[in-house]
Amino acid sequence: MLDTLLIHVGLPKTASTAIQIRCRELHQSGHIQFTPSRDKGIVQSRLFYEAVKRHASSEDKESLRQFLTNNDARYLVVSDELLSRVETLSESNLIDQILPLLGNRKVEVVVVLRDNTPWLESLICQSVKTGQFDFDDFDASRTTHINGYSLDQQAVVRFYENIAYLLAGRGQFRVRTLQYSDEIVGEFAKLLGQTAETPASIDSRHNASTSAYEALEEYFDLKGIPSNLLPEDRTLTFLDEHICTTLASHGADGGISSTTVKNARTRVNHKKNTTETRRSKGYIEYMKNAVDVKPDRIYSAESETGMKPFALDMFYGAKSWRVWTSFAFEEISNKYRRTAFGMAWIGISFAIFVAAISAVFGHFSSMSAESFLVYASFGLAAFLFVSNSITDGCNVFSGNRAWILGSSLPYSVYVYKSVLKNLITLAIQLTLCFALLAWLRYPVADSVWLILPGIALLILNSIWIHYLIGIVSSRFHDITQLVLALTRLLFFTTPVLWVYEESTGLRRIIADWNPLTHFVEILRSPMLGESHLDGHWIIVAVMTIVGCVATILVGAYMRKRIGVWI
Amino acid sequence: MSIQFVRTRDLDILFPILGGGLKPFAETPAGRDSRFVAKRGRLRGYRALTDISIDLVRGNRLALIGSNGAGKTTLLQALSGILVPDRGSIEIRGKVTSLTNVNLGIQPSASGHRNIWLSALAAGEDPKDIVERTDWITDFSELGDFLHMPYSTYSAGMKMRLNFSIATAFQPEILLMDEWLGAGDQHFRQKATARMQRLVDRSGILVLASHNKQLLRDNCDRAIWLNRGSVHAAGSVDDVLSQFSEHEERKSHR
Repeated sequence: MLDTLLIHVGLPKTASTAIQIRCRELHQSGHIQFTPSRDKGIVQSRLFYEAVKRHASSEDKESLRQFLTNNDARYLVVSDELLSRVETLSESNLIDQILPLLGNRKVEVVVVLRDNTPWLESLICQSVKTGQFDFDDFDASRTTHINGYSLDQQAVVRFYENIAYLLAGRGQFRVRTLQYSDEIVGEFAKLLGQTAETPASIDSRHNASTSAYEALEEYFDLKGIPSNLLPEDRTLTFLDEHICTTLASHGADGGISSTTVKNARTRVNHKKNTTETRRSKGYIEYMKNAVDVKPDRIYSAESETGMKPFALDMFYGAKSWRVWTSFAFEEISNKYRRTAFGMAWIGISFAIFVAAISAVFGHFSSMSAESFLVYASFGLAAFLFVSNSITDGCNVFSGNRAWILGSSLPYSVYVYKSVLKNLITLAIQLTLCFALLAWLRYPVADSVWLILPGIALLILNSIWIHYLIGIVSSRFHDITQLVLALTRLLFFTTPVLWVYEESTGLRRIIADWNPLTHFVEILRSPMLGESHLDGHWIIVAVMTIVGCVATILVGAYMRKRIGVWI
Repeated sequence: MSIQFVRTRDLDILFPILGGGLKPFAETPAGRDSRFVAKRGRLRGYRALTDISIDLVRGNRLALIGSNGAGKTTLLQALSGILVPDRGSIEIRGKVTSLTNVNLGIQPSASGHRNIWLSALAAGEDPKDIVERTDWITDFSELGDFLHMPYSTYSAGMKMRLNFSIATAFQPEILLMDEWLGAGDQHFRQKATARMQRLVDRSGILVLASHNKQLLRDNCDRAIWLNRGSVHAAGSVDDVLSQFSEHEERKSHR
């Protein structure tokens, strides 16, 4: 039963080819088998890759699936340098193609790590061998690409990051790291339960550098560079400062072009920069932890739907309190900027309003003039807070359109901002109300402390009203018009101008069915010394619960669309 | 070593067309742009992006090309978390900055100083970072004592200088850009270009949408050609850009 897939992620120049050759040798010598029957198995990477490519025919995929199911080998080895490169289109990334075919099999990922400087040298060596090396084109060392790989300090780190990315979030993978060494091939074979001896077919570093040296001789010959510039020990030292410095100092008299000299100088500097060897030890932990790397943020229809993301929206919005407090104060003071009285106008217009109500409507009531003033002031403050929450709620998202479409702040920020603006107004008005109490020497009722839970309830309700109406009206613009039309009526149907207790008949029925009546009552009646935790409180509590539940439901399922609705 | 990445899978973005359902709109007429979504004979929506699956890691510089309305800006908005996908997913690791709207949070009647705070907050910057970068912004904008004046009294160039300074003050890990930012007179423009270059060079991941091919070649190594909301071609920036140029030329000869 094939239960483990061994994915060998080879960076270029980390003996991937040697490992592949060794695996094939083991296969040929019968130590590991391709055919189903023995206890080890290997598939040559290319074969596998062809089969899993997106455009591979469904028969290919099917035969591979069959192979995976019917094989009694324990390991399947996939080895490909492409595994260490992230392509922009995910369909080009091999690992994404392999995954769906695996089922529940264990996946072990073997990453071979190598230090930065020898890796770079080896890569350049390779390019000399293959004839791609061009000294004249080497000056922009940061951007130079050899075999499609950029050569700079970060090059190796980038590879590791690429591999880490391909592993990120794949908790089903187990990562093993192997440090590059002359024995790397044997160590890999050990993973498969095979002997650790290094076969003769593997080039030693010396052989590799000799052929690179020969290629460089040819290259110098071709370019007309004196060959005595080459190091005499014929080892892998063509990168040494020796050549570069000699080239640079030789200059024009050697018949070498000035660009080559300039490039040689740059090369010296580049060399100096890269001599600091980056040990890969730190990467071992990094690679092993890579599968646990989680994204900071996930955006999808699913992840943005439901109670939890909605709760997080409320939470992170509250956490960004500096944003909404700053803007709430800014926008309020903006409104009164360049006026002599500034924000005092909130109080002044409120005072005028209260005075007018008391003067005009006061004598319709049997209340004393003082009592009616208190009644009207507290009532009006509470009424304005709730009714403004409703009207502002219509614009809480559509009014911040540019902002919402320009940043990814939680939506609740706009809600909190608007609620705070209303709260600032309420605070100013209530301060005036209490000043009025003091001025009238109005007896302070025992129940005055009830104003605190009252305000708390008003705030809570303002939050859900804003959010709910905000979402609904950004989807259905008619709601905005309807709400505006209805709130205009509320002023007459809420007992602010007239006294609730004195009302009878139809007016009383309207008042009782008007939710605002109860909001107004819980704030106002404690001041008049009439209130206890009576029916109004129960109704408000019920409305709070019902409202919050409705908002959570609407918010949980519709919030994600605000961006495209507004 | 911190890994940064952007991973999208089968990303679809659908714009509903609200109140547009009144006129009859045949469901599947031949030749109609397939992005229009009709239901029960009415136009209901517009699929701005279809099936976008891309992978980006630190070091990647992605150019977005395509004609107007191909979905470049929508993709940037989706990547910055502004538009929620209808289908598919976006996973991000790293601090994202989107330089698409540099006017964000500006309060015209507030002073320049105050606007530094407000605009940076609106963009989602951390208050601590803002305090730290305020001096830099003040210096870079070269507005001096004008920062005590209300923003609304600034000339257009001065406004742009301040906006630019605020927007580019914070080094992102993942930088999303809709066209290159530039601002001010010749002297400031040079400074701004240098600043942008630095910001781009130091960002882990860059996604740059632009119609300026030289700009894309200079700053990007890979490219995606968006056509009608889906990936038409992808690969190295030179390959994709030359394919795109060919396509454009063929179109203009027609």
